[in-house]
Amino acid sequence: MLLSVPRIAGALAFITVLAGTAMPAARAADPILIGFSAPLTGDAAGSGQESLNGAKLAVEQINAKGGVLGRPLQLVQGDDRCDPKDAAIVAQKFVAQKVAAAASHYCSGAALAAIPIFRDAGTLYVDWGAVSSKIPGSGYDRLFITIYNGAQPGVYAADIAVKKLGMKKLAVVDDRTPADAEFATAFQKHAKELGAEIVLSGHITQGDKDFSAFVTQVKGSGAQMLFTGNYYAEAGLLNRQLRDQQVSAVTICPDTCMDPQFLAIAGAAAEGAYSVTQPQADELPAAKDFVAAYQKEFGKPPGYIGPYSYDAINVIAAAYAAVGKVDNEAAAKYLHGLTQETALKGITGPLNWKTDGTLPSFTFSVYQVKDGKMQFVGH
Amino acid sequence: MDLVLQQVINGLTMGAIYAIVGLGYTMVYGIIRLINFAHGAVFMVGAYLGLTLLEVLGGAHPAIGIVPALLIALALPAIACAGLGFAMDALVYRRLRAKRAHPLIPLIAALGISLMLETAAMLVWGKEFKVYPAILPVWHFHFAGAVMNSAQVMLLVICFAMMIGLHLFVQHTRIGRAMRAAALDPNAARLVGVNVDQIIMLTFVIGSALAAVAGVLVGLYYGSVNFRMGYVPGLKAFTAAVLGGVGNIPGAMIGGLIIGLLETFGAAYISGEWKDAIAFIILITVIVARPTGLLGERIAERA
Repeated sequence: MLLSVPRIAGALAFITVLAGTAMPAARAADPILIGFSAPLTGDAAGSGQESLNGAKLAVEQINAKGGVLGRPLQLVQGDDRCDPKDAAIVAQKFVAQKVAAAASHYCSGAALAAIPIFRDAGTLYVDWGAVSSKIPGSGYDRLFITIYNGAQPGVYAADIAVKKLGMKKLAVVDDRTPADAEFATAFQKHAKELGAEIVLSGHITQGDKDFSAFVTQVKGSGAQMLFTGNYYAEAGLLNRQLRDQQVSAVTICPDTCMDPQFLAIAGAAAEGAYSVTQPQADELPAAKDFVAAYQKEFGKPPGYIGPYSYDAINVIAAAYAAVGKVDNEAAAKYLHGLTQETALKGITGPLNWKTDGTLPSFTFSVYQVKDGKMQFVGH
Repeated sequence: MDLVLQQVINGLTMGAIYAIVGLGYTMVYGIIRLINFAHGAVFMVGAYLGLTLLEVLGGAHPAIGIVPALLIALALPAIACAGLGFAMDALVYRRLRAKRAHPLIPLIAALGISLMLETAAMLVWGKEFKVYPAILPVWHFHFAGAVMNSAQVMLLVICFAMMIGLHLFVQHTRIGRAMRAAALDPNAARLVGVNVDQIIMLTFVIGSALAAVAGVLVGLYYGSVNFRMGYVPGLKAFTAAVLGGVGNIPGAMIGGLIIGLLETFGAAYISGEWKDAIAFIILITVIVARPTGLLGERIAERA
């Protein structure tokens, strides 16, 4: 709502801060444009909206303190619908509107489609959600990722399944999108290394609703656990259809199942499902103020992806402020030059990067659905 | 092998939905040679209306009882979408027919209506998935190694009842005879006193009502709805109509079941990602090899 009490209070606070500190107000005439591309509609819209909120909060807070180099930040939103074709169109739109930087992408297919366009334009690209290892594999030197990268969730999930839960017969399904396929392959490889048997490996299509044929195969295979490399819509429907056919296999999912829509879509069938994810906002010690501010502004907790898009905006702002101009070559050089000692302090942890733009290390958390809610169970 | 029986049940479930939605396509095409691309969107609107009604009636625990709530959730969207079908014909298609527009024009209009309905649904109900209340008691029926749940049984029973009902209506009532006459030759039908415009309006109304019921059943069975849910099933239902022979009502029913079964077995024994591809390969093969479909198109005999 435009005129809700928290909004009015926030506006008054903003004006007070400006008057009190007498800092130069950001000139509305010359904003720094940041392209924000995410799935704002479609199957992953819940996560896309969450990430947008995190970015909006960061922009608001930065602008309240005077913006960057005296100029306000402004988000240029684009809806990539988790689809490479739409993502390419959005990226071209960003370049045509001369965005300085892009804080974008939840889906790896979308990110991979946008990279060549950003590369041609020299856009500073901070990725807060797309995790396929093909992204740093593109070799773009102005790419920085604030979240984990690569197949680790698949490897972690295999460790959980075989070592912690003692499962011997495993099934795998993915939707053939870059990140999910990578997780599924890594899960299979590592599970076999640990001595488990992959009794079934299958694929489903993103956007489909009926997986009953595959579920029947899972039933026939005798699998004890199913790794679902899917976004929350398909994962939720899979869980629901597994219970519809009374298949006893437990599911384990990458971070996509942390979205509350997964629980809504799967309903009671989600009980017992596992998820391997980046640490949640309430686990991050530096994120307490962020969580409070997010809750205040949007009326709900930040979820599993909001902190990472928040950090992405702050990385861009910090880089431009540090080099004193909106120059992507200098900003990229500055960010690459950060070390563990000089790392930026994001709410998700220290931010410095390897030469390919990925974070040097990452710990995952494991959650399980108990009593209808995702509960933390360990690392 | 008990798995085969389970896959057959899986295939028949989706197939029944394709059959019901396909009926709308086939009836309209049979009379006015129009592929009503907006039909898939009517299916989606029906699903959303059912959701809203159930939420208003109290969600998973309706005050008036489960069976009355379900009856309302099936009947009211059918009536509302019947009205939507009537509006599509009265406001758009009939006027284009009166102007003797080139056949391409109503086709484009249908696409436009379908986009309009999708976007309207997105604006009204939001972009995210919406979840149907868990109103049906969760019962599982086991037989010969296969499992069905209560929503699935309800879906199959209601769909088959509607198919049989429509077939009896078209074969054994006066209005049904008028519909068959109008489909065979509209001009000759006019000559013998059939009000062809009214019959056309009736086909839109019936087809849309059926699609709405199918939408609600899908919402109850799969549990979630989304404003894009009508697009691919609409295309597959059209494929079912073509497979059975456009204009042929039993053809659409059989076509739907065949597509559902082929899809499911393709997904099980080839790969899950091939499901959509299989349905559309069937469409192309049928159009090229046997354009009149399995049961044959009702082609008017011109003097």
